[in-house]
Amino acid sequence: MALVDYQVENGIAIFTLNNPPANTYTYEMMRELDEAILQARFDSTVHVLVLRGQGERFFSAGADIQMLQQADPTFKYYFCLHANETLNRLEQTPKLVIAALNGATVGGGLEIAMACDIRIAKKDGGRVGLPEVNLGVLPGTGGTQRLPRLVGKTRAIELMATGRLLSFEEAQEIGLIDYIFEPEDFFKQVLDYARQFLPPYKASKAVGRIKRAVCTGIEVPFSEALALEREFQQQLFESSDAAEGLAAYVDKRVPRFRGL
Amino acid sequence: MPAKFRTFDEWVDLFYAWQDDIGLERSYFQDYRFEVKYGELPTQEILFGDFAGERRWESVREIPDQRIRDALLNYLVYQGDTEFASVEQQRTLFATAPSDYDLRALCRVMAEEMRHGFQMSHLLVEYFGTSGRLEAQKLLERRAFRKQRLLGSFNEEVDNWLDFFVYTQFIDRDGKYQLRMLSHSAFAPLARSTLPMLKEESFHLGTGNDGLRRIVRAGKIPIPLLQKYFNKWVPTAYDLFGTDESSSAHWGYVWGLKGRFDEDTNPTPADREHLNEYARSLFIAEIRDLTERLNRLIPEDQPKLVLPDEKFHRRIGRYAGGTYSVSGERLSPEAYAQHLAEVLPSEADKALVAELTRQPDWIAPKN
Repeated sequence: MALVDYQVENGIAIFTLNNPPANTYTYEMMRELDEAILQARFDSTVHVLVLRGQGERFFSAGADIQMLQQADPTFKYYFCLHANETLNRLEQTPKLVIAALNGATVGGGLEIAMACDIRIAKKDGGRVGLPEVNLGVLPGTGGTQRLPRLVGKTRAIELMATGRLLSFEEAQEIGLIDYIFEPEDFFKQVLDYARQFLPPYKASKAVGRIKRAVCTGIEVPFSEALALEREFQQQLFESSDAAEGLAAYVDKRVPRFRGL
Repeated sequence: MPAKFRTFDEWVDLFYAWQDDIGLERSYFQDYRFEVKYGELPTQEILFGDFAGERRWESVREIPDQRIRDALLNYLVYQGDTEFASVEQQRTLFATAPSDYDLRALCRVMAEEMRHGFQMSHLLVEYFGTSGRLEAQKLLERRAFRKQRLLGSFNEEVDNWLDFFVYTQFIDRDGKYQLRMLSHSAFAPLARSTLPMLKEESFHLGTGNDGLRRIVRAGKIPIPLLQKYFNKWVPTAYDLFGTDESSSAHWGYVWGLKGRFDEDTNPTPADREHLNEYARSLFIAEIRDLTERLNRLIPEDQPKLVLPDEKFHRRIGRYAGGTYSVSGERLSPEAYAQHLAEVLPSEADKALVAELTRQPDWIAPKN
């Protein structure tokens, strides 16, 4: 049984974290996630990535605590390093990544979700938070860095220091979750949402470069970020989608993008 | 989505709006006073778990660990959700009440269930700040008839009075177990809340048990038909006890939030790995006894009522999704689908119940 089920459906790569009951992750699962991200990157038919958890109750409850308890400090260090590298790879992939939070999303589960670009939660599906402090550790897969970037420094510190879990509605209010969808046909609704970013109606290459400009640009000085933005824009100016987009506008017709 | 209200009084306005929204005729409850009630605890000490012997917590701020606060909020949400859900499920039964007594009993059951939801909402609003207000609001936003309630039993349909009596016999009886387990809670306002709730709940189970006895005594509802309603509700009642080897139940015990049903009288150390299984086993023993008593009222030449096997039609726990028959044998998926059609109430069965319960003597009068 794969720990990350990977399948491609009509331009959308679907990653399912598959370690019931709580979809906790181990080094092995991170390796599979890493591999699946690379697969989606190289697959020119994939334009959007969607991550979800197996089952109805959990997106992911984070790292497997039993594994961490048994591992020596060196293993733990490299485990965290690899997990960081994997989530960075996800974040730096120039394709839109959507986290479908089908259940509780806590600890490392939320850290995975925060490395995605858009988070959509299933109404009343569970709670969300970074409770690592209760184990005497910190959120070590990017949590201390990505959470303040999403919700602000003070709020992030308070949430991580208390380890408080939030309802999806509260998380939405502070900008941690973007949308809450009804439970019935939740994943179908997520896929419907994701389809808007696919060619031929959306220039997915531009979507990917927008993402990259934001994700990298926000981390570097402003002048460098603007330079990065110009370079991405130049890539897009040279793309066939931009040619199609501009031409369609002038011709007053619907563009037919190809993601190129 | 910020909460639409700030104070509990404002939540009460939403509560009445919810009654209107689900089509509840308020005149049935005009003499009932919705209020918060607290009982007297036998001891201020925490009885079990890793904080045993310490003083119970009177406020959320006194709770020493955020995980306990989060778990407590969850318990209140789930308890409150069941209370409002049951009213939504039973809201269409007024017109078909078999007697004035039954109508009054229904009104009392529904009023008290609403009061229990009112009580849980009060705890959420008064003790849990923004999060609590939001959850108290959501208790009034989910709908059983849209299958949005948090637990499976509370999204099932209660179509008729057979449903009602079986439901109050088994589902409300599960409620007794949950409330009693929470009555030992280290969070004093919750523990105090459950004491009047338990007294009120006993009337609800009594209504179910008495109703079933009256049905059997009247002899107009065929036992195989009644059995189908047992098959419908009992597995969901088993599910309500939660997953097997539940780590949530384990933590709830460690933190002193939810004890065993018999925590105050059971001197043996708790098997923390199997708390839900233990509670379920006590429940099964109780309903087995009640079912045997019902069977004594059934004439010799008729089939007897049986409890469905613990494996049948489960959605939670180790048997979840299994294809077991009502008597516990493993079936092929095809045979199971056929079996379900045979042993659960069908549309034809519902029509038959509707027809039979239109007769005045389908249920014996209340003694």
